[in-house]
Amino acid sequence: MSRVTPVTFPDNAAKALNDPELGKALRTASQVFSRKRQQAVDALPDWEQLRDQASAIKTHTLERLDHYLGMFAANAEAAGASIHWAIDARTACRIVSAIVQAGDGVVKSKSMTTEEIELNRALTASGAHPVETDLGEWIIQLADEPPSHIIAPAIHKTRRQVAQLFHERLGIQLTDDILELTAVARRTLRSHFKDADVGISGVNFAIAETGSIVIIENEGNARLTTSLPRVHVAVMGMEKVIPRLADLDTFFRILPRSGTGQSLTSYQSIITGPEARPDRDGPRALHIVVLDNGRSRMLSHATTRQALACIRCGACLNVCPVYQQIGGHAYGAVYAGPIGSVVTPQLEGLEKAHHLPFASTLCGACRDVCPVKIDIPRALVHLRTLVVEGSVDDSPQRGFGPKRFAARSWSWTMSAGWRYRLGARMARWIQRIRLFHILPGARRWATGRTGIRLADRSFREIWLAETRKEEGRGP
Amino acid sequence: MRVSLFVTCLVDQIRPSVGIATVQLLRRLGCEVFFNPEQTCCGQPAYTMGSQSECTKVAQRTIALLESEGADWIVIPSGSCAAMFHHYSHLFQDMEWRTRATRIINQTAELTSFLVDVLRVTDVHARFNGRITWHDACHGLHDLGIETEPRALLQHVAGLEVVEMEHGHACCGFGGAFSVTYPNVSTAIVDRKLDEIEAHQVDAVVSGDVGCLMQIGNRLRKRGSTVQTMHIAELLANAS
Amino acid sequence: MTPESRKPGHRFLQSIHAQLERDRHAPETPLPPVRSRSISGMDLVEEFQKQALGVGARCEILDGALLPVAIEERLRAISAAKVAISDSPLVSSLVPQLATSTRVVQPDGSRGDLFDADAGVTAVQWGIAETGTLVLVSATERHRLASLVPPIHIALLPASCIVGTMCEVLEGIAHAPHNQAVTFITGPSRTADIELTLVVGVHGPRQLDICVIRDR
Repeated sequence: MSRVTPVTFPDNAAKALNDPELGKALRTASQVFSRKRQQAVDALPDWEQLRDQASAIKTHTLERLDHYLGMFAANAEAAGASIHWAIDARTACRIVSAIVQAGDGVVKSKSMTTEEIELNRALTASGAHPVETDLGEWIIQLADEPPSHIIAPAIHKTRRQVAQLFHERLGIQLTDDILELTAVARRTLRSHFKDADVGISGVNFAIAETGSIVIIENEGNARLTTSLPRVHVAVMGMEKVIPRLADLDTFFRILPRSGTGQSLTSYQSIITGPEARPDRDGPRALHIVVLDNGRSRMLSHATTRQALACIRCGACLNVCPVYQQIGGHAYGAVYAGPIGSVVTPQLEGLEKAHHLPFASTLCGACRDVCPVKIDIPRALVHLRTLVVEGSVDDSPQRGFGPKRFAARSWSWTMSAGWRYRLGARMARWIQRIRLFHILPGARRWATGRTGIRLADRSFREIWLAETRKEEGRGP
Repeated sequence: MRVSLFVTCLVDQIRPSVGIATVQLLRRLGCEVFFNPEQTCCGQPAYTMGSQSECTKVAQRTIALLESEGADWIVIPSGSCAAMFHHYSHLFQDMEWRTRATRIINQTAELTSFLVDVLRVTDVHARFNGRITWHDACHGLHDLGIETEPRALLQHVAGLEVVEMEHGHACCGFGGAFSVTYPNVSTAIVDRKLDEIEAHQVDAVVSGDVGCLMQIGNRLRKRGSTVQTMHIAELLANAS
Repeated sequence: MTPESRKPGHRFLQSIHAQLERDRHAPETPLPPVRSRSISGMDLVEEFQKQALGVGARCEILDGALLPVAIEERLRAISAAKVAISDSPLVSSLVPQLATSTRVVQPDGSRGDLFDADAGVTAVQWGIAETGTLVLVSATERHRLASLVPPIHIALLPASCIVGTMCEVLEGIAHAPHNQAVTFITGPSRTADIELTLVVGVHGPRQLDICVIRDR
């Protein structure tokens, strides 16, 4: 199945707009999530202090990321875990494939990072059959689709579509009953859990001072994935590390509220090393794969570095006017919406994802709801500047290209009063002879809106005329 | 109170009545209003287009121009342009320009914020008979925190019925160049807003930004609606 | 660890360091001190029960002496043929009574039996009053699977082990990092992945039955 990519974003967006069922599902979901989030946030009088605390912890840690990662790795190894360093997706997939033996039963809990590196595809190619166990992830695995939302991957599917999918792929009777559909998932996946040899999970937080990994969930599949099989493989983005165990109190309070509006999700697991004691439940081997995959590129500038603070709550998606219209698939990448538009160009490269920073009205709603206070609009403008000028310091490296040319012409016009006024006069003349639509952008503006009309006299002309009139009246 | 008006290029060329209304309103409240006829633009189009270097050139000119006015306050009838001024603080690497920019920023206020937060006035003795709804322009709302000021001002307008929309805070989909780069998404976003506006059966939509009014107004016209658009300055300028 | 095997990590961290060095602004954001929280002015046990009920758990406060009967009642109500237990002394003390009406699966029992069990009975190490949360520490008790696999989890929580906030628990476990797995349980398992409709009981237990035991 060919995936859409960010390269064709304008077409992806147009296609999404023509899908009214998708639009309805997105807007309903966004509204429900946003409402729940607001209720949960309103219940905490110290919400803003929490955001400040979370943001400061993340900012501090990212500024010393090598130090804290090193500390995490040392402590995790001291607890018996194996640390694997994966500079890119290919390396990460190779590492995991080497851990999985032929014939192993493999279960997976939800992990955006494993989607990012396309781990399932790599494992399948090497002969393994990883089974997603999070309900939403399992649905999209059956449908062979990418996730459309950071925390609710199958949000774009109606119950009818899910029922149809189960009927086709599992042979069960068609039913609209969501309880029944969920029970099907439980029954079917149970046997996979029972016989699993390897459990693959993501990591929400990695604690530097103890070498622990932390997993947050509601369904219980992550607990099953990480305690039943004899081998546990945890794949983590390198930015997940936080300094202290005590910092979890802050993040446990902001992540569930921002994501689903819950005070706490049903389960949090703090896992430190494999289980060494024979009289205890748990995996005998714990492999932690630490992934870079382009994240380090984001470290050299504060504006992009802050985007690594993301704790994957999805709140920004839920308030984004653009996401609400086009959904996650249109972005053509695992990370969609506002944060996706910042992160994807960095991970996949600007050449591939240059549309994404421009796919925003810069309204700022995302920045207001981000629990770790990422200034997403500022990061988007930063990336736009990288696309157009090639650098963000005072000396632009890229002198050519249509956007750069447009910006140059614009600033040349606006840098002198007479040029600005001359330009306006010319535009008025073009308007008078009814050729306004030839001006750049005019036709595109007119798709769906009546045309822009320049006033007969500018404010300046009116002001000067009035001033002259008053002067003419004399003292 | 000496006020220098930064009228903004959209008001200047497309909706000068906003500028006229702003001047009338400020004078009525006892301000001495100055206008430098050489002004052009705050630089936002280049900034959001991705050309910070070109934006910087225009920003420098605008800063120098406003410095020469020597006014107490610079008032702008646009949240997005006022917010752009605030971006000047991180636009310059040069210390001298940073200082100059900061000085200008500290003297700059969006119109409703100027009236309520600086002049400490909420009743401007205006009258307007009609049923309207308020649209929060995004930059004013999210960048400058302007939310209570316009509502306080509208509350005191004689004869005015203000309807609060459930999604009054939602973006109108303009986003400057976004409206022509992604016209289909832009239209879809504004349609959602217009559905709510039409459901409330108001006479007019009022906002603090001409960009939003263009987006909302021109789509309303295309949809065949008779709902008008007004800038808050135009509404408040109607003396009771 | 041989020097060779440390190389990948060293290179990895070095490239991070190099990128950070490129930031000419060299910012230094201090790590904020931990914000310690505690709750006061309320009965912790009552608050725990209120919160636990609020997240869909059952929660009864009872006398230690009444525990065996209470457990037997619960198991009879669900016609439990098989019950998985942990190795806690508290749970072990109930076995003689339980074994009269149901098959008890020991912690080292077969996986097949564990998956067949109708309920799991375990103790827990802490309760958190502010959220109605149970805390399970794997080093202390073997309950990781018994509290997870069967569809019903009966959790025994001594009232004296209820603290106010998550902070207090995190402080408590920070000093014993050899714990392999610390699990926080707040209510039964749930999902809203299909049309955002809440369904209780997915992969983890669909029913969480907490017995808060007032010790004499």
